[in-house]
Amino acid sequence: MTYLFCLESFLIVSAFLFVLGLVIVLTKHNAIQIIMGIELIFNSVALNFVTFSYFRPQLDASYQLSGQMISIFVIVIAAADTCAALAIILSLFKVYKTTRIQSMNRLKG
Amino acid sequence: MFLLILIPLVSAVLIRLGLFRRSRLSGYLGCMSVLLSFLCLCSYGKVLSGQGLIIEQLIRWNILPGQQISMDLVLDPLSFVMCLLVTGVGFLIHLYSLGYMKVDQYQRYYGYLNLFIALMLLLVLSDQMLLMFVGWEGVGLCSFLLIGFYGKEHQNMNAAKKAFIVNRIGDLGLVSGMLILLGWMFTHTGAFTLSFQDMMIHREIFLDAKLAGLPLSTWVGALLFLGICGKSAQIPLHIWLPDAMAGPTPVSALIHAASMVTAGIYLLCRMHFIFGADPMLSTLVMWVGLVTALMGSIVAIFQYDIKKILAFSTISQLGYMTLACGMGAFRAAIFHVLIHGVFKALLFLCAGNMIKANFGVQDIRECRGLRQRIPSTHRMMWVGGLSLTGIFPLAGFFSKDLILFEAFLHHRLLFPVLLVSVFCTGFYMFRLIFFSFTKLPQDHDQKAFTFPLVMRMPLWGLSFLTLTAGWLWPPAFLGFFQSFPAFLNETLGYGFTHHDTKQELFVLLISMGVSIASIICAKIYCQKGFEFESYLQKRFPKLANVLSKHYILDELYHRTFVPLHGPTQTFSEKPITTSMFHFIAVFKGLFDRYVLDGLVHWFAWLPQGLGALFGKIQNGHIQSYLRWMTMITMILLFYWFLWTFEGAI
Amino acid sequence: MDIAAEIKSLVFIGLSLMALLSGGMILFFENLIYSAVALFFTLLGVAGLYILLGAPFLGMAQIMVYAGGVLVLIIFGIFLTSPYVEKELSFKRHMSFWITSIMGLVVFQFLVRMILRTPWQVFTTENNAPTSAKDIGHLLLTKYLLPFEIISVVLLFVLIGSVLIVRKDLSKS
Repeated sequence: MTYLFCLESFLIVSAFLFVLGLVIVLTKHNAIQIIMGIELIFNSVALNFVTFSYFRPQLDASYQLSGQMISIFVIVIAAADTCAALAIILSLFKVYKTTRIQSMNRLKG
Repeated sequence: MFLLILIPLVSAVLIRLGLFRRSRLSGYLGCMSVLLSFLCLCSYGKVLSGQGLIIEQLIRWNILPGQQISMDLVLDPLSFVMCLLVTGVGFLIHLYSLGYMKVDQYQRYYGYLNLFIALMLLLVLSDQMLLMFVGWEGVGLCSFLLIGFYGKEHQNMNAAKKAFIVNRIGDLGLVSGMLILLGWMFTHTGAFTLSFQDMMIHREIFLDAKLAGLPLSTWVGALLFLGICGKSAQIPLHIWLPDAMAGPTPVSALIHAASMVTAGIYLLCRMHFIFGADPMLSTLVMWVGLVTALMGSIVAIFQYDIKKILAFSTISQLGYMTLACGMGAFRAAIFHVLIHGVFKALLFLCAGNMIKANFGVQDIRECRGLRQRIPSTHRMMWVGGLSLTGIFPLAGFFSKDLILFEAFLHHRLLFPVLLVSVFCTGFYMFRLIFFSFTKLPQDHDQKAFTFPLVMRMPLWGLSFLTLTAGWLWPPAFLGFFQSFPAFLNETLGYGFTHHDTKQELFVLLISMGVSIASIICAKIYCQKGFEFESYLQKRFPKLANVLSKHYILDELYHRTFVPLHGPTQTFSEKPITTSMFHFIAVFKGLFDRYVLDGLVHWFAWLPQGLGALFGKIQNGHIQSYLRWMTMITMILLFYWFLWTFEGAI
Repeated sequence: MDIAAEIKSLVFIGLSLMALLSGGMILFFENLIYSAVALFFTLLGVAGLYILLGAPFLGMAQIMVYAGGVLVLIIFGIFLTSPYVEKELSFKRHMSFWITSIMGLVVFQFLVRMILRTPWQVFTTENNAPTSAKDIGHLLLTKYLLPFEIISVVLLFVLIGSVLIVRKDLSKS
């Protein structure tokens, strides 16, 4: 089973998380669940970076940990992003009285 | 071999002359004559497998002083297979008609039907193209007579006229092509002959001469292909086939499923040395076939009449055969002709049963309790439907797979389009079956409808054939039963020669998957009743109209060509100058109204109409925008993937 | 050591299964709180994967910030916007759900194919020690100083901006 602990498996896990996040964004009716989907996508990206940082040798050895650094920043950005998104949802909620995005179609036509 | 044609011909004449005075004997004689032809054919089969080719001379015709045309009949593997189809399935349909038609109609019916068999055999067996043309026109005539069989109603005669006239339009191309070929053969070989055998021997001369940059064979082939489109109902000359369903159902089964429409495919395969050797011509044939296959299957989804669905199904399947010929897989096309003839005849005869059990109503929305009344027909519809959709182990699976595999190997970009057509095929067929054979609640007292034995036996025979005939040519990696393609090899030398098991398995699995998915979709769709279709009619009436009525081609022809009849009528009534002015005036009026004004209207419509059309996509729902984006990205990825990773699927 | 490698692989499989299955459950549940809990387990699984990949600091940061901060923020959002009347959510999926799932599967299939086909050049010898917080702190203050500062400014902006968006319009009242 040790052959399973390799670069490709992590990438496949990350790809699956990405696709899950994508499908959640595309199908869920509730805006907050869409935010959860976006979080999943962020997570898959960060996982990708850390995987490469672990498995692939960099030309310049000082850059070996740059994958993890990027992931730290990704976490921070995701937090900021969620904050802003929730703010928008709250103000939308004040207008539409619901978080179902299907009711928010004033841009129709 | 001449007997093969003579027996049905004589019996046709005898029956039609009324020698049996409206009794059952005319029907029995009709069936017997086809059976005798079939047995004769089988006896030749033994000789054929030994010799490979039998030629029998019929007449020598002195058309010019010093020039003779020898009208021969040839029995080679290709014509053997076609004759087998015509006489075999024809006999079963003759038997069925004994029960389907009323006894006082036997005389006309069996007369015409036997005449048709005789002429079809003439078409398929003749070596001279001129003699084949006699058969070609003859089957057109019989088709006219038989479509207009119930001549009392106006629309039946209109349908018969339409069939004949569209056929004649195609024949314009056929005759022109034949004349060019005749002149060509004459200049190159000195003999005034259009024998297929001679043309095959001299096939190199067809690629030498050039006209306007293309080899002459391209022009000739295109002209002949026009005739084939007319006979085999390819787009744009397919409009007669749905209306031809006005004739009796066994006629539709024989003529418009098994025999006459396959005459065009037969000609394509006979002239394979032209159609297979010229890349531009085969591309044309391929694309026409593909478009026909796709459009026929899509229009069939929106039809309500049982026979019209089957008619469009035939159009679509003929498109498959033309596509196979265009790709160079002539043996696959002939195999599909054979298999399709069998299961389509089965489907049509089952439709006949359904119509009889439904007391003449042909609309699938009005079928009541058919499942309880005719359970055996239901089962056989399933057999035919599964074969049409291409489910293992039925015959249609094997023949369709050959065509799909050929497309996959050499024309990979067409393969997804073909899969769409396969999906539509399964969908419309099972939409038909699920809608017509719905279960009624138990409060109705439904007795089982029994059909006479003569109607049941052909159906059993055809079902048996549908279940087993596919094994005539199983996929090559299985290794056994490969004698059929080898049998056709001498006459149709083209065909795929390499077999990659992994790829073939892949194609098999994908096509089965698509077929099964279409059946499931049809089941889900039919559970909702007709809601979706009435919804479509209400929201998009124009679209529904276009989809269900042959893509406005029919209406287009009606508006452009048929009214030409009006102005030309004056030529027979008034003096010549008056009528000429009248004629020109009509055209000038039309030009004013449609071209000049039309241009202005069209310019105005362009931004407005297109804007409205595309505005419908903007429904304000961001998820649907995202979905569209993802889907298009995915399709682009798919094609990019296929393109860059070509060999490593 | 063979056993250590085996255990590592098993742990990997367990954690990734937890992450993926919880992701699936986010998709499956209609109830918001259920999907938030599933998101929690997904984040936990991913944090475990980070630790497995020799980034324990990152894993802890993920749990603290993501699971402990972002998720709580999301739950706050759920509470603030939940409907007053509890409507019966229908569990019948609409057609676009299935079509989108199939699309997603196809996209996943492409990605997997490309992942498996590319010739990655990976480390031949495994001698990665887990990254300590000391290393990360060192890097943050030397090499990645600029992004560090920018990101603090970004956070400030986002905080102020979110408050701005949500506050009541003072000009109207």
